Amino acid sequence: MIEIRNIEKSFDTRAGQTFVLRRINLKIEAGEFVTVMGPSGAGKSTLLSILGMLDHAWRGEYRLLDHQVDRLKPRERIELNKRYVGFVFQQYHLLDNLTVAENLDIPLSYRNVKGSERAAAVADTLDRFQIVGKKDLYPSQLSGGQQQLVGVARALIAKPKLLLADEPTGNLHSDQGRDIMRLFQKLNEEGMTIVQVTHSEENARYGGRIVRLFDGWIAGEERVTDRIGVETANR
Amino acid sequence: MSDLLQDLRYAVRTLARSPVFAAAAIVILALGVGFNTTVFSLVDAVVLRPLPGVARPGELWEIEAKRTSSVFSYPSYRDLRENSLFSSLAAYGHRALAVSGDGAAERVRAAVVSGNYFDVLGVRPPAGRFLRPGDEESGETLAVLSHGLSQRRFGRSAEAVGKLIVLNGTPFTVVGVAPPGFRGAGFGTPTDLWIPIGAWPRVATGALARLDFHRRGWSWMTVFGRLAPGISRSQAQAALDVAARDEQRLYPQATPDDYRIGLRLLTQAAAGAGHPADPVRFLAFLLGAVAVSLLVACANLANLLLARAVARRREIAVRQALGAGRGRLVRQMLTESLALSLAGGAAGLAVANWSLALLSRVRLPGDVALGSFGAALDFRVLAFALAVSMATGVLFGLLPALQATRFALLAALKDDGPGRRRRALLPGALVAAQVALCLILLSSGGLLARSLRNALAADTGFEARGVALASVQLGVARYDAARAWTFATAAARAAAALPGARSAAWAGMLPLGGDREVESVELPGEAPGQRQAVAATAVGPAYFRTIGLKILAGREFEETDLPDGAPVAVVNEAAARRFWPGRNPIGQRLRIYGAERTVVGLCRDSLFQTLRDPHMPQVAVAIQQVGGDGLLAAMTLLVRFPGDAGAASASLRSAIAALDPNLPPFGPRTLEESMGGQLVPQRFGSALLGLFAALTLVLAAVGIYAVVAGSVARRLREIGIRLALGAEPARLFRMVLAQTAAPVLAGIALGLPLAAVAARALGGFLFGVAPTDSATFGAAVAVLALAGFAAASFPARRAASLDPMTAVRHE
Repeated sequence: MIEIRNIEKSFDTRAGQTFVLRRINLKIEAGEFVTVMGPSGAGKSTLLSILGMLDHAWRGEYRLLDHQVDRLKPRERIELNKRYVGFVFQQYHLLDNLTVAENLDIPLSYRNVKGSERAAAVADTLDRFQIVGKKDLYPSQLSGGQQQLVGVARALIAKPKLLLADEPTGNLHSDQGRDIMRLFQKLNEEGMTIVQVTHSEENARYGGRIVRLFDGWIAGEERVTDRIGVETANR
Repeated sequence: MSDLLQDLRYAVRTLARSPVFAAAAIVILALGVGFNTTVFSLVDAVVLRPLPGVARPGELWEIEAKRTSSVFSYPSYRDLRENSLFSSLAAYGHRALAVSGDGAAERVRAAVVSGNYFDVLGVRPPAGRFLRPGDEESGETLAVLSHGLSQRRFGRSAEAVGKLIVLNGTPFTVVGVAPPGFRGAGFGTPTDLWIPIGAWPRVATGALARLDFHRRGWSWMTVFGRLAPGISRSQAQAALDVAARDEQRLYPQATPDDYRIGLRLLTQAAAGAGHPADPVRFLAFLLGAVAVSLLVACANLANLLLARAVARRREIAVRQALGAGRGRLVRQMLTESLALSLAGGAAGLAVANWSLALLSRVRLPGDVALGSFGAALDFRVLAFALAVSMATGVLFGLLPALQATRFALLAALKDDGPGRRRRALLPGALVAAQVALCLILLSSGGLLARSLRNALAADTGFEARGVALASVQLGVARYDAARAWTFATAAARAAAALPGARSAAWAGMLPLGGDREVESVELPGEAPGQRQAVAATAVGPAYFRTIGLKILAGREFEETDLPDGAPVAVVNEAAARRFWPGRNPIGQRLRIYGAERTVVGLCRDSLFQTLRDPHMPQVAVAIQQVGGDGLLAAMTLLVRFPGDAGAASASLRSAIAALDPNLPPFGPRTLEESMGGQLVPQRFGSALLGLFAALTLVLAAVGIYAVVAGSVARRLREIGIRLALGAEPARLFRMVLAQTAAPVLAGIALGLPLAAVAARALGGFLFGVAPTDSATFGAAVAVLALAGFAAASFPARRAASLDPMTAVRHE
């Protein structure tokens, strides 16, 4: 689904060029659940932003499905982002002045979906995530876990093929974090391709593969052998 | 559409969460839009709108005679009427008439009209009939009353038809009443009644009674009409050019050189061009002031929105990350500013209503009430208010919206703390713009205020305070010269005998009352035909002591200077210097007003016609010795009262009414009130500009405060670090204050040349002060600088008194 070759990102400073990512080569198949890990400053979030086409200042090759992203103009990349990508943020980034339902509606509105279809999609999503009772509440009236749940629902409402999550449980306490990770796992079982960035080794075990970054380089990749998955659901 | 509604819903919700900001913005916009709407309603009524109450007003044209103040003689009008160019052509001339009979005597504005006047205007009478072509020269004493006059005299319009009304002592039959709201085809004060041309000799008095309206050389009528079907304006103009040449060829004695005829659409502005109260100039002045104020308001709001946009950058970044394009985000932010501006515009209608009522009381030179133009908040004005509101919303909302969607998305999402921030130039530029515009209003207002002060303090040469007035026109009450002198003498004695009165006198013209009279003087011994121009006036006995104008030698006029006695004159120092340098003027002779007169008195130089008079030579003649016309024309009784002259004016008018109940006194009540008309531009201008200057000063100060406060909020962490590292609070105070200096200084530098240009445009209204008066400009700059310093000092003080640890942890 995703193939990136020799991706690099750097800044020019007085001390010379500072690299954030160096010669990143990575393939992600459809339906995979990949975790990107590494210490602070390794370039994890930057890699995620590039995959999500929120960052345009990079070099290298990037193919998403049948699209050669590196050859597209920023405006075309934004359209691709709208079609295929959903993003979950660490700080949830819900819009404070909108209700839960309105927060879910916003991505559809930006994709020029008709009003009646949007209403139906919002209703379905509220139901799917069992947050119908909270549809008229504002983010400030929700707990952190509930807010992140809404954030995930919002990321999925436009039916993306790829879900990118940047430290999705970073601002949650452990129980809430586990709920979110189980949700991700369920989505992955349903066929969603997921790439997450996390510091948590436990969270990494919900996925199938770990890519480790260090100082902008890919330091290594490994398969998750003790994956938290079915056995966790049955516990 | 659903997206738009969504944006609107969100906009209202966002504004509701910031009630203080929303309320302040709405108030600012209400004032800006409201004042602009007020001025537009005046512009619409005077300049744009065709005459009210007439049929197909867009087809009515005024015919202008380019060399005779736009008026024609009756024969010239009849010639034009025969021209196939026009489907119909009418004419009118305004005159003042005295109405008496049932009810109190009053002075009314009458129109002497052609028989087809009402037909051409397409008006239908609600009662009776209008004048017909057959009435034009029949000589029948017929009258059509305005709705207002019919109600005043007869209670109901229908009651007036068939009744008699006495005009200048002659009974006229009322044949019809005009519809309510119909003002006639003229300018300014509405017409009260209409009489046919043929009836004019029955009411004409004094010199006018001796003029034959069939005479081609007497131009007094305004002509208007409708073009024949299929005739375009250019065709009409070409035909009128031919008509003008023909008239000049056939009647060279009665036609001025280079005689031309033109045409223009009949609006109130067209009718008023050249009038002392020419409203277009006045409105241009108003429009400039309110437009500048609105621009300042827009710049101020743009700055406030910019500051809000910075605070909302994370929200905007999230929306972009969710797929919002820049256009969509700009549209959403514009919806917010439009919601604000439309709310402000709606509130502005209340401001417009109030300010229109206030402005309606203003009287322009020539005693024309601004309220007489019929300005109102009608559909067109409401449409203007809507358009201005929307344009304002776009104007102050677009830049911040574009700016807000430019920042780095990822940085905003991460809400990064440390790191170098790009310096924002736009807020400073907006502050500079506000400062520049404010400087224009402050300096212009200051110049007018100084002019007013100089004018009020000017040594006029006489004492205007404490003089009550009452004007009469004996000619319209059918007095002859002998009766007029008897009445005038009795009235002056009765007035001087009023409790508290010191003296009383008549005058044909009031000093600094807005009238001009320049006459030619011949001196004995000079070559025939050699004349000198002087300011001339006709005054009665005791005039000079009544107005406190000192007699330096000889005497002033007395009752013993009889109408048929030896003609006498009083001259001022400038006349004495001009005509008899180094010699005693007493006993000298000069010829003026058709008679040779002996100088019996020398008075001090004084201002007479305008405040700018460079003490031109003045000659006063005894009013009773001006061949009878002096006493029969409009004249004013002046009475000196040491107390409240305004209150005394009522008893003065009662004293006149006691002598002749059919003689309606009129005019200003005091000499100061009469002179006030000279200073209307200065009074009104300085008050108006002062108001707007104060408003824009507050806005500019708020703008500076918001920019500095926003900057301090963004730099809180940096300030905390500096404090933690040992920076002195005073140094931080100066650091924050210094960032205000650049935009304020830039605004002053930009504003000074603009203010100089605006000041030159005021030139005609300035008195005793140069357009580039450095003291005024210096004061305006100082006021602005102080206001900027004061506004910036609040957030600067806050920055200097921060707790370092709290500030360092600020995100």
